Amino acid sequence: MVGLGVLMISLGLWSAWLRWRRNLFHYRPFLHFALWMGPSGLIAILAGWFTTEIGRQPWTVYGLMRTADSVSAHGATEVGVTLLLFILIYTAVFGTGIGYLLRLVRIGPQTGESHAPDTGGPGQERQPMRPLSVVTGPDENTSTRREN
Amino acid sequence: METALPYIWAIVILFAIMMYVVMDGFDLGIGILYPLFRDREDRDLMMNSVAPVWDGNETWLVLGGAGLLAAFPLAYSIILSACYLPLIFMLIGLIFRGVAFEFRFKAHEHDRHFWDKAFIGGSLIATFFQGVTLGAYIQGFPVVERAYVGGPLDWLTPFSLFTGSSLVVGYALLGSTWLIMKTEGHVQAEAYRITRRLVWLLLLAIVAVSLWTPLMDAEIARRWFTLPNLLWLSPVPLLVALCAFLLLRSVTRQAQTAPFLYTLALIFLCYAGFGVSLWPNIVPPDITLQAASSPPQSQAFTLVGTLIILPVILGYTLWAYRVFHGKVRHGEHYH
Repeated sequence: MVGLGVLMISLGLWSAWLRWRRNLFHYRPFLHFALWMGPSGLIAILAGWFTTEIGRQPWTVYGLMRTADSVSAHGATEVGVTLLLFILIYTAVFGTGIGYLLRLVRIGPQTGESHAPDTGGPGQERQPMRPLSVVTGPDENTSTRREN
Repeated sequence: METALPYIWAIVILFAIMMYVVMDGFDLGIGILYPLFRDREDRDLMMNSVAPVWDGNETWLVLGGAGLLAAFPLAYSIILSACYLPLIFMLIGLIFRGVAFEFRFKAHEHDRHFWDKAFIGGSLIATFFQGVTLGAYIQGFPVVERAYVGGPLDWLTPFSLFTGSSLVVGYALLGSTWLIMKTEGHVQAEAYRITRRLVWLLLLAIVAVSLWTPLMDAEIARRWFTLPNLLWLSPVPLLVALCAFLLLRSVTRQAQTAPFLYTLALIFLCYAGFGVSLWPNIVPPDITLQAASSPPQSQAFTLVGTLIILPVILGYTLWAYRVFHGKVRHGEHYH
């Protein structure tokens, strides 16, 4: 986790250096590095949490209260069923989320050069959408409406 | 000062929960009302009316819950243990409702109906189990030596199922009056129609709960129905009737903001009614605020932080609502 943190900082510093050298968008080693650092945030968070929660055992309150004493009186069935529910639901939700994310990544950044932006003047509709929110590709039906 | 801390904290937590009920009430209400609006563009419109503000609304629940843990840990442990299952189901409902907001606009056209169902189902489940938790809370929990000793399904009673349904009606009313404020044209017209029916339904529910609660609990009955309390407390039901009357009249007059404000007043009055019944016990039937408190040092310490951060939260909330004020129109997107 700490190692990843150092790598993240070095990513930031390297990108600032490249920006100053006006080479940020074309220097391939850096771009590869940035790509590999993609999941680093998630991994670092998980690593940190694993460390604290496993490292704290057998104490809930260090030196004062053990995990075994902290257990509430719920039956194993009750807790087991709800745990299973959580696992199923999180898998479903995160799974679909990752699916949509990958779809967005596959479509790639929308440069907006393919159509003139709406000016939002009288008689025209304003479309204040966040970037990368159009998930449909350029050849599919989009939900943007343009007055011609 | 030390003796006042539990009461100050009680007010903070009550305020946080009140804010939650009012604010998440109407965006859960929108989800509950979805089945009454079939047109896809109408549904888009309804969702867009709450899309910019719903995240912040839900954070008040976290503030209330975390405040409860910090200031009244005994109450936190008992209530969350006793209401474990309804709160888990509520969380699952909230997960699906929240995710539906984001995924609905990302899905292909033919998949969108699934996220509509997730939105509706999530809102219904979350609301219903919030009401069930409220009902179970009012009924009280068996406690021995600071631990909950009841079973996993003690919360499942006719009373709690009724309060669950009543909360669904209440949030639906908040949702419909919000739509009156934020939409125009045929969506608003439909909202006016729905509001009328919901007011009557809610009044019925309030009357039922107000009679059922004292029937269940002799102590509460004594607090409400003996003189001189009866005289002091009679304004509460009278004000409820007055608010309902004014609400219906404002709907007839096609007022824009007044229906929502009268609904807020109704919610506040119900809230006050519960407060009157349960004061000063934070865990019915007999654990008082003082008994459930954490040490005064903890309460003082956390209170300072809370009092600093609360105005900040209120400030940005107000700002967010101001930025997105006004009517939502077809074709506008926030995603």
